[in-house]
Parts: sequence; C-alpha cells; structure tokens
Amino acid sequence: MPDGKRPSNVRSRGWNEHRNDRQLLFCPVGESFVIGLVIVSHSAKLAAGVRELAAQMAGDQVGISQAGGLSDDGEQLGTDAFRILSAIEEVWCKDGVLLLMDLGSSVMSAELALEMLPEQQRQNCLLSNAPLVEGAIVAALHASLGESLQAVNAVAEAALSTPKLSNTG
Amino acid sequence: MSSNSHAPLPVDHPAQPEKPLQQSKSVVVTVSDPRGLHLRSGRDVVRTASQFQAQITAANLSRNSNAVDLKSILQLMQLQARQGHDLQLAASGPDADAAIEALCSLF
Repeated sequence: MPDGKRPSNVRSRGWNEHRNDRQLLFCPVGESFVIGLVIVSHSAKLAAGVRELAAQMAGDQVGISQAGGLSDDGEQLGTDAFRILSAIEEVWCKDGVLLLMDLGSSVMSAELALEMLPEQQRQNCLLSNAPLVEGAIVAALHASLGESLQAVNAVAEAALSTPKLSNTG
Repeated sequence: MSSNSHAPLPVDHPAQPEKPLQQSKSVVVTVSDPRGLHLRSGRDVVRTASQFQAQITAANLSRNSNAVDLKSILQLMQLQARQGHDLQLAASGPDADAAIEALCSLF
C-alpha cells in the first residue's frame, strides 16, 4: 500500500466517527422531533403556573397542556385520570408525549390515564421521573430544540442530580 | 519496508484529523442585564449554545464558581450571575470560535 494513502483513509474515518458521536450527543442535525408535554398536579393553579413557565421556555413551539385539580374552577385539589387523559389528547404528537407529575397520586392517576389510551398511543407516552418545576422548564426548552422524547426525558431527569445552589469552590 | 509489519491502519492517528476539532477559545464577559442572568436570558444562551458542536462551559469568576455546561439551563442557573458579574466562557470543538462570537452578544 502506498504510504500516501494512509493519512487520507485515517482522516476520513476519524472525522466520521467524531461527527456521529457529536450528533448523537449534542445536535440532532438531520432529525427533528415534535413532542407534547403534559403538566400534572394536585393543584390547578400549580399546574397552570408550571405550564406558564414551561411555555416561556418553549416559545410556542411545543404543545403543553395541564391537568390540575379535580374541577375546572380549580377549587378542589386532587388528580383525576380522565382530566390527564384529555390533556394527553390535547397535545398528542406522533413523536410522543412526556408527562411531568408533582408527586404521589399524580403518578398513579397518570398511570391510569395511560392505561386508558389505545396501545399504540400508550407506547409513545412517557412518565418522567423529573421534579415538576425544573423538569418542565428543561423539558420545554429541549423539546423546542427538536430533541426526541427519550432525550428530552433524560435531560429533564438529570434535574434530580442538579443542585439549585451554586457549586462555589 | 519493515513498516509493513505494523497495523496497516493505525487506529490512533490523531495528528491530522484532530487539529480542526481542537479549536478552543475563551473570553470573559460581564453580565449587563439589571436582573442578572435569569431564566429567559438563560434560555436564549442555551438555545444559541445548542446550535454548535463545540463543548461550551461558563464559570462565574465573581463567585469563584466551577465551570458549568452552557447547554444546560439548570447548570447555567447555578452560576447565579448578577449584573456586573464576570463570566468566563470557554469553548472547544470544531466551531468554538463561532460559538463564542455568537454567545458574547447575549450577555
């Protein structure tokens, strides 16, 4: 093999490898996803407030719905699977829907809502383990960047290990 | 020659392909917003940073903080940057120069 060929082979291999790595990690250049977000809370006011924050991060590019409380007037606290179900349908996207819950029966009601969905839709829904406020902010931002359902959930769940206070050293 | 006994395609041959990828750039910017670096301006920083392949970090020199990932809104908020704070932005990657140039205008 002529010596002159080696560097060019190596260079092209090296470049492709780097390129693929970086695309997976940082920028899904070729592929862009559209997902929906559902905010679930015991309190209608809390759900509405979190949705408002998330919408500001997403800038109208992501469908975000809310399912909070037991009644439309927001007086009764609690979670209801049917309200969550209609919130999912409101923002339904083929690339998936991510559900962010506050805690406790929000999670159980969200699970119930998923069970009521047709199998095909259920497969594209994901319950996030992320904390509600941080998770919604992060998820909305990354969903607006066109990231996939799994990728958005991964960065949202990373909020679990990101302290609020600065890491002054 | 005797070099034929070596592997025909050395896996580690970073000298030529790595060069453009190792571009790195660092600047210090001062936060000008009276409300500091808040959620909405942080969103714009993350949006801009995410357009580049380079790895980009920021450290709050005024708080002597560690460097955080500029593509993470939560880490960016950890900087707790107020107006007048100096932030050191550092980028490394194939488009580091362009990334820093684009980010500088946001502070």
